[in-house]
Amino acid sequence: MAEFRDAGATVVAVSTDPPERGREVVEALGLEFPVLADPSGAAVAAFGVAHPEGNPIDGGTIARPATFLLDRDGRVVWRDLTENWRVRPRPDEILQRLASIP
Amino acid sequence: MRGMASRPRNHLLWIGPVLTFVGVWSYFTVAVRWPALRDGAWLNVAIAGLGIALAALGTVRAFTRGSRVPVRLLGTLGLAVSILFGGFLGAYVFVLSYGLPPPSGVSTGLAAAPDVELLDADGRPFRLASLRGTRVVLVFYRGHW
Repeated sequence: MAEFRDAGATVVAVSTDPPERGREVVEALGLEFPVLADPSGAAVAAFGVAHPEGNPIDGGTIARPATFLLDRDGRVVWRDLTENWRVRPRPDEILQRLASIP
Repeated sequence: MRGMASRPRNHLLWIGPVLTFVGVWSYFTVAVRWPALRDGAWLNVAIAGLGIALAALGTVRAFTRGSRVPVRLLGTLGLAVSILFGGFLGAYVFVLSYGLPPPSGVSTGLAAAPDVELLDADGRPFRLASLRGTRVVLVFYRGHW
């Protein structure tokens, strides 16, 4: 995480889980970045990353795995919507991309 | 009839299935922690494949060497279980995990990120726009359910 701080970047994770769940995840995994909640799915929808099939258990909105990089002005400069849920962008790749953002 | 002692023990009958199990099990418990092992999954697929091959070899030996019927049955069962386990890993790695639908409605290029309101761990509102002035790595994930 220090590398991300040094790169002048803030990391945030978002899911449609309730806020309590985010807290549990942060504590259980010792995360150093906030896990934010989007229980209504509004943010997931606004970014266009809702999983079209929804939660297979209750049909509720869930996000597909996706990573966005925003510049200082809040513009999306890069995004990754993996086609395989096992394979996500790695930290070193994201750090490399961050370095190229003005 | 030859005695048991004169016949070499067919260790492949248990090594094969055990190796297959180790290959599959360690993918989900060990390899997932290491991106290099997780993304390609080749090491675990290779271990499981080797396990299936050894189980098959052991089973063939059990039949060609005229092992007793229970040994042949156990060998065949071990091979079947190995193929099931290994097949599951193969299906997961090469088919199931590609099950994400194609993205739609995602803006491309340099566009302003929508200013959305989220909730922090204490349930307080958190506006994405409050992060203006810093670069943001925004990660969406499916959640824990």
